[in-house]
Amino acid sequence: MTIALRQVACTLLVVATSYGQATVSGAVHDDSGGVPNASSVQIQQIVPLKNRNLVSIGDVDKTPPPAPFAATASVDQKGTYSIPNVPVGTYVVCAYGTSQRLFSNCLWTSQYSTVSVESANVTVPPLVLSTGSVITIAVNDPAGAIVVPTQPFGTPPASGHYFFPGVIAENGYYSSARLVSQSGTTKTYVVTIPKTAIVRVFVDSDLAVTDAGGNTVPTRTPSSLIVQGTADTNISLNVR
Amino acid sequence: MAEYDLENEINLDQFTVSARLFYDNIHAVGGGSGTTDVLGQLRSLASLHGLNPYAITTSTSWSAPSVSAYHCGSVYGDSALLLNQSTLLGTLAGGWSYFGFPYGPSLTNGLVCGGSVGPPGGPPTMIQLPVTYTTQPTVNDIHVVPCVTSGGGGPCNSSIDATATATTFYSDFWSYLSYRSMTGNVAMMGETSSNQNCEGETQAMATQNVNGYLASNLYLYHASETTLRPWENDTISCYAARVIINPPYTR
Repeated sequence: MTIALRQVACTLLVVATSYGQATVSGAVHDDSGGVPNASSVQIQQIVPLKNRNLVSIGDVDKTPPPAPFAATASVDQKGTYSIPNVPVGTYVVCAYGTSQRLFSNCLWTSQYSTVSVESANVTVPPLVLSTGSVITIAVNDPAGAIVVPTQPFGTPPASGHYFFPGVIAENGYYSSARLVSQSGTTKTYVVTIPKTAIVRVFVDSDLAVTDAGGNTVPTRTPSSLIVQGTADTNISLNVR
Repeated sequence: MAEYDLENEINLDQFTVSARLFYDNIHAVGGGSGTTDVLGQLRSLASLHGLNPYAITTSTSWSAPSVSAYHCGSVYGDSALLLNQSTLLGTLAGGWSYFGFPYGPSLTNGLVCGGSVGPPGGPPTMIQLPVTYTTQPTVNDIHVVPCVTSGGGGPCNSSIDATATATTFYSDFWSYLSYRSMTGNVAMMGETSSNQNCEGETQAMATQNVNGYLASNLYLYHASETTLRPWENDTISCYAARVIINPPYTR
């Protein structure tokens, strides 16, 4: 989870002039300089919270909040992308891959790449999909107690138990693990972290959770299971 | 306590940091680094004092279309007119859902339509709260002044009749409550038309708001649990009449 204020870090190259709208283009590569397969770029307009602060009692500005402009583009085999007809504004530019091991330039950071689009076309500095380490969490669920979400945007069911693992870094950055397979009584989740990260396993569940040594793993709070991102890590948990 | 509005018009699709108001991933109780289940603690305090813990929520703002009565489906499958409300629900659902800005939406007539949780075949780009709140709030508070904008999120165009837009919004609100199994909830329009010619709104728009509501499914099926609370800002002299709520409270 990116619970971090968006901050600005931008460098622009002015290429051509076209009043009102512009083309945003650039390149994407991984940290070895290669072109990632099936990667894409999304730009999203940053819309300020106008005239508001945490102590205001109600609206100060009755204008409905504007919907931010957003657009996506595929990255071609040369590692380049181009997004036409982008209105004037400030944008976050994020690259995404389809590999579990590569993470976006917009994840695990509060320093997003942003660009200001004014009246000229914009070339964004290269976006890097970084190679991380994969934490695999195998959960033994002998009673089959865990109810697994069947759709991405559901709500908690009226009955049944839940188990959602993730990791949380010392700075509070949280990333949920996703279920990748179920075999027998084992459910396997994975999450990718930067190689420089140190995280704690975080379990949200209404079940009793223990580690491989039989020690209780607390829920709804960071556990004492610490993982360093220098290498891939396998973790075994049990629920009952 | 009918409602405790923890944060005015929260916007969790664009400002995910606001989720710290529910689960603080930075600060421990009593200070220092750590985590705090803020909503859980507030609910406990409410219960301790005999108040409804599930009346604690945050208000959201509706999304205004630039074409009369236009609506579309959001990434959640609910109406995009209520995107912020769907995102609030998706946030509190923890691992059952996602929040943040969707991947690949279509910006159509001022609304964020469709999109997905992430690129096809790739990891999600939307995010999840570390914890799940299995019981959702019992009040849904949306601030809405039905109108048609001039496009691009601009101000309301008071020359365009808002009746049909209001009907669409309120009927979509009812559909949302129905689909999400929240028909027992209070539907609170915590800020709505003031019936005064102030801040770009007109008395005609207030009439259109009410007429649109009366023609909607929210009125048809949920009127007894619906509240429309007019907005008034007494720091602006335009609002001539001070609304007496219940003496000795005069504003």
